[in-house]
Amino acid sequence: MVDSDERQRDRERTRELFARLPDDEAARDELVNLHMPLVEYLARRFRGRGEPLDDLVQVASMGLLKAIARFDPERGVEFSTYATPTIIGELKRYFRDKGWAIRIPRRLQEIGLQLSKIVPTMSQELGRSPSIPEIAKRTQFSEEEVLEAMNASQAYSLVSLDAPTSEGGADAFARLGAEDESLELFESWSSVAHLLERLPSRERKILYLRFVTGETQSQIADQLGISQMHVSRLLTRTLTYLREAATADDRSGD
Amino acid sequence: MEKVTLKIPGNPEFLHVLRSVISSIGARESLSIDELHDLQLVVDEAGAFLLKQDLGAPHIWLSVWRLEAGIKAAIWVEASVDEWPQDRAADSLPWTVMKALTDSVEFVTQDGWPGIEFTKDAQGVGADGR
Repeated sequence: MVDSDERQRDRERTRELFARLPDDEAARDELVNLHMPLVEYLARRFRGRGEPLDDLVQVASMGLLKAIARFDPERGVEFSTYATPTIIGELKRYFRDKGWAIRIPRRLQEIGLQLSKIVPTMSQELGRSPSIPEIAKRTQFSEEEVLEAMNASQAYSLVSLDAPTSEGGADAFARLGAEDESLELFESWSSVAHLLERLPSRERKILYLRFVTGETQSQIADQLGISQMHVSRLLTRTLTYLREAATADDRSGD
Repeated sequence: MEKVTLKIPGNPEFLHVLRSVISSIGARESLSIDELHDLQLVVDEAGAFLLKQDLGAPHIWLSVWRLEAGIKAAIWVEASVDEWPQDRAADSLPWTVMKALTDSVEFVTQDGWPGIEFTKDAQGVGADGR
């Protein structure tokens, strides 16, 4: 059990080490070593899904390195608070990518690829997003295939509500200045305003366009220059993040 | 009105089954790909919201009804509650999301079990969806 004095010492040491970055390689190495217990703890939370623990630790370590590279000590957030969601994000991405590679048949991947091209085109032609039968007719795939590919493109598993989450500091993302439109979002979503502030501007904009101005995913995709499927994935990811972080907040407030 | 009903274990890891089922039915009811993705998000939010209440529900149920142009669905858990919805439920993030993505949504009870019922209309696609 780590006592609070030791934690305090680690925090101070972490601050000293960050002050020596980015030029001091030894400081970076020590930061990595100092936070390996966190990496191993989080990696263990993802055990039992068919991946060796060593591989998970390696993936989580990549998350730690990313967090070290992106962390800004000036923001006044503890590094471990900042690093936790980054590491979890890396682990989730690993499973998502792996899941895609292993479980989704190649044909569905190919159909998904074609859908990501044809859906924006059809949306533009129709002035709305197409239905599954319309896509099937255009692509010559069966409705079942289109539907399966659509679901496969959403292939992710909702993490358990008991999974480790950040306690209000979840930020794999940069803290960016709020635009005017975000203020409106904050007003209507007051219960999670503190979490919205931490989202990247693109994710915040997507939330604003979908939930405040009521635009469809296809319309948002047009505005942002990305595919509708990508908008859908970002929306899902952002809402999942907000839900988990809000749950963590609730629990820490109990 | 024809109805499809299924139950899954009361565990968030199975919510993907509900997502698949609702999008599969919605796809045949004139809903566009945008609307199907919205439905999947609503199912996630509703399922997670019900599970978050820590009611110890062994199962989550989903019923889906076909409407003339769209669908109606209800998600509920096998659990008894003294009060439903619970305090501040309508101020929560999941509720905000569900309201935004559906045409109507309300807290309901099914045989005394707490649940959420919603409808999603098909906008813009031809009457037969084709």
